[in-house]
Amino acid sequence: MVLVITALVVMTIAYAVMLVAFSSTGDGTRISYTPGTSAGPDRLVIEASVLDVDPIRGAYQVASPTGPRARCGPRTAR
Amino acid sequence: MTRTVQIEIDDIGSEPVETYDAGRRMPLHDLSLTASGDTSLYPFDTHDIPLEISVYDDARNPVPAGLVLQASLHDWHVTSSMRPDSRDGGILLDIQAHRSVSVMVFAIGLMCVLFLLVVVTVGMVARAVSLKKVGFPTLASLAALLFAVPGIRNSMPNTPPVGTLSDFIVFFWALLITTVCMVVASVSWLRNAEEERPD
Repeated sequence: MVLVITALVVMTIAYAVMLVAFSSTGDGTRISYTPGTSAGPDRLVIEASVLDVDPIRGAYQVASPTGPRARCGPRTAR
Repeated sequence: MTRTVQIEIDDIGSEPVETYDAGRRMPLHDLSLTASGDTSLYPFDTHDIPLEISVYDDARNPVPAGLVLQASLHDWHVTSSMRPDSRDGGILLDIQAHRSVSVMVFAIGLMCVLFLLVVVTVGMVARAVSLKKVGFPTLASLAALLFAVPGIRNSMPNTPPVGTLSDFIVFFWALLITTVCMVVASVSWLRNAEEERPD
């Protein structure tokens, strides 16, 4: 009986740990950079997203010994 | 665009300078950037990716520009910082990418599974050999493990080709120990069979 209760407690704790871990896996970042005096209204704003980081393919596609690829795409500008 | 601008990005493959005329909408662009990093350190590899964007008008005067960088990849954690020499019309970023926490935990978990599997196998084979009780099921389970080890290695997320740090820490060692166990168990099984043969 004690063994069953211990197993249930351990499983419940593991379940809670997994839920907490999942809720803290938000790896998304969105950062704005405005160098110099570019903060005025008449500025070009480039929005870029990192789409992929591919170290394996990049190693020979880019012909660089350690050439991973990061794809960045300017999305919109105004 | 309210005026004609020229954008210069240090990427691979596209035109060095793109010109966008006034009145035009700026199209979407896919860019490939170079990076430096050592993939063999998987799953602890880090890659540095520089991004340099310069924006000019027709007269080559810098145009004030800002950048909003977004990164939400599941398998990579991307951070970035602006270099101090950024200026009006010149955005210089240092982007850094390393494996996400989920990928690292999963890869390390599989390495631990492989390690424990080999330790248990060594104990099992040593016990069976010392008691002279190596049976055909023992040999079959060792053969299955021999084929399962590369499968476990390849099931690590986004795993690079063979030769990474994780291979040297666990995979090669596990494969070697399992093979030795298989040979020892097979020899023991053959000797036992020879001894038990009725003359």
